[in-house]
Amino acid sequence: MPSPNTFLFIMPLKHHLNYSSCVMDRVIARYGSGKRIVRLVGDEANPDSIDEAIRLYDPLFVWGTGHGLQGLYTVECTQKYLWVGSPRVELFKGRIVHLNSCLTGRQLGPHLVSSGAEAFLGSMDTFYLFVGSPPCSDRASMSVFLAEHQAEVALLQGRSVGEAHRARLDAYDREIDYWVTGEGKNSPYAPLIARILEIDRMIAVLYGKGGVRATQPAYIPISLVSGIVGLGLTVIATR
Amino acid sequence: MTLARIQRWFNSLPEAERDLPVVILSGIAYTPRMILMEVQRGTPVGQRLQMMVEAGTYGTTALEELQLAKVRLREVLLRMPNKPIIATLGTKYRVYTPQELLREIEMQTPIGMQWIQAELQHVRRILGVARRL
Repeated sequence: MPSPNTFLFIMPLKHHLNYSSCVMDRVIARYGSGKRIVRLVGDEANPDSIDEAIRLYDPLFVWGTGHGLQGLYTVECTQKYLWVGSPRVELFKGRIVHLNSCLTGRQLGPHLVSSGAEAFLGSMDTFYLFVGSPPCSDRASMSVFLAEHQAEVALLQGRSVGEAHRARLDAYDREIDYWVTGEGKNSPYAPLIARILEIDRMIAVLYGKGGVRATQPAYIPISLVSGIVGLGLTVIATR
Repeated sequence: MTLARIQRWFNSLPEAERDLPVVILSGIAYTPRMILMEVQRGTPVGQRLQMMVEAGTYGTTALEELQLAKVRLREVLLRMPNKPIIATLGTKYRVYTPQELLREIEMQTPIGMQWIQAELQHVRRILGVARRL
């Protein structure tokens, strides 16, 4: 059984992957406290290091960005990492996986779930991003990832995979509203970014068990609860 | 839905959307600006357009819908600078200029069809704004 509250983030940077990774860095900085976070950034996002991190930390949740095909996920420098029929698929048994890449929702995601992964979040078709400004330099460069990575915000906050997927779709709607009727509507790139968001939202998929969570509520010993209650605070402890 | 609501709908849209065709009636494509004018004039066409906006319906035949999406995307993409600004997370890590994407759309390649389908969804969203006001 993989370790709850343990999150592995595969964050390659080359070939525009820094656009996704830099937004995820912000998500981790804001919502990752109290969780065991393992980040493999840039050249660390290579097959050997990923395998080692999975074996060492046994994360319940694995997120990765990378370039993909229907049955293939690649990491830094487009090194092949995971594909349909690969022995590595075994490594993902019992885990929740989110691959932010093109097309992996078509074959690789269903294959992972049918091979024992708890759940898979991904994209069914080509995933687009706006690269007209540097990564994380403005809302335009971050917009699709502010939506896509809302799933991780939700999971880090203890919500279920199904709720995370819903949060992701709702975040896409909010981002589209920002560019269509909100503050960004008269930005010169607004029409283009709204359409990119529309596509990425349409292709977002979830497979597997929507009810699972990547976190486990902390067990608070009764003596500690009593002590806190004694201070006049209300505590609800959940096993 | 009242004239005031159509007016609010029009005002809420970005400049870039106000002159893009959004519904087709009797083979004629209407932009939000044209719809507002027809509704203001109280014409029968205006009444029908108002009903279409209210119902969130934008066209008739599949062929007309395809044309609607292509016309809209052409208008939008030709306004963008001809620079590689649209990347993908596919293994070829292709970066498109808006004009390159437009060619995909005109030729109705799988990439182009993806944009066309999304555009029709976007039109539904634009019409849906009216119901939220």
